[in-house]
Amino acid sequence: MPTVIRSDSVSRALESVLTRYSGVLRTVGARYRLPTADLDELTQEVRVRLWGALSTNERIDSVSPSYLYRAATTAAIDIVRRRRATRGESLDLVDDAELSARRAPETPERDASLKELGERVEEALQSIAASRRPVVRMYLAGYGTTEIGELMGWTEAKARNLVYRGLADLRLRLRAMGIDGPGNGETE
Amino acid sequence: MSSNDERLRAAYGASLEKRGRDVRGSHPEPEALLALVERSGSEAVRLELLDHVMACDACRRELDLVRASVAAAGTPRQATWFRSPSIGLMALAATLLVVAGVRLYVASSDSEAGPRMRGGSGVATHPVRWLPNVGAGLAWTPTTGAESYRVEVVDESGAAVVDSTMRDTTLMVAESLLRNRRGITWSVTATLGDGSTVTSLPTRLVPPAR
Repeated sequence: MPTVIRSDSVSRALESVLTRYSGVLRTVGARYRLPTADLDELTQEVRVRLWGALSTNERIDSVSPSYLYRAATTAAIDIVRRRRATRGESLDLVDDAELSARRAPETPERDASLKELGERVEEALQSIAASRRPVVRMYLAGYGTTEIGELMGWTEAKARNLVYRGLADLRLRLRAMGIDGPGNGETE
Repeated sequence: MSSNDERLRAAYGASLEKRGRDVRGSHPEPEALLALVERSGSEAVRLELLDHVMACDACRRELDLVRASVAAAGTPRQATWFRSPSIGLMALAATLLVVAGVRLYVASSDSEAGPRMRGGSGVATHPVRWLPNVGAGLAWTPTTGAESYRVEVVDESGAAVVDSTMRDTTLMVAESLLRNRRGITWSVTATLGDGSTVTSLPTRLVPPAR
């Protein structure tokens, strides 16, 4: 029966694209340090969207790259929106637990000293050029110059140069604030 | 990265954690995060957005989620050659040609008199031409070596409005097909002689206000 044949081909197409998508998502997610729960939620969301659309629209006989792209981006946007709507509930607890698990154990004194330095760093960041500040923030948040370049559409060399100059500005401000020592090394 | 940089990063991380979501300025809409990942909009606006996102731990994690999703879906890219610094001048020349072509297309009132281009390695779409009571006229630049073009128009739910393969570089989508649908986007995939494909970036199809 034609209907059965179509259903089977849709199932195969769906399974194939989901296997590929979830495989790449795990790799990319690990690079971005995303919690496993996030990756599971995203995969499931994309699965539901593809399944719903494929089983209800007979004109779609295969999953094209742009189709998958659309499904994945709207899935991510909806997850973000849902999280914001339920902010302060269980999801935040999960995220905090993940963060705590990733952090190296700190003594209370060291923890307090880091937080205090962090506040001064933030203060110093406010006084550096607005065009350099975002890339310095990104670098300090743990991203490499390759990632910064990719996100902004720059070459790695340009990203590295901006980070280098921004960090130099930051160190100058910190010294002016009487803080010597942190961040006087080289980038990556 | 030096140990001093590591200490700076640890301090910054501690500061982010302490502040949580209590960051100055409003949090960007999820669509703005996607625009940042897709690099759409001016660099100044994206940098401003990035400044907030990287100062707000929650927004940063949301950005990572969107980035991962887009990366895993395999963002349709205009062409990988565009990123190669070794042929930056060629890319610049091609961009100027596309801009000139788009201007010609927009300036012309006759849809048949669209830009006459020799073709490039990517697929660049023209602005949509809306014809009252008829529909949307889609057009794109010819791609060198393309055997066929697959045009896909999808709505917000991901349902296909149009999925058509052709040799032409224009397509008229009837207004009746677009009625009562939201979040419509369209893209073109060129299939080359060797079987490889090049896809344009998905573009929003927004009907003009009546």
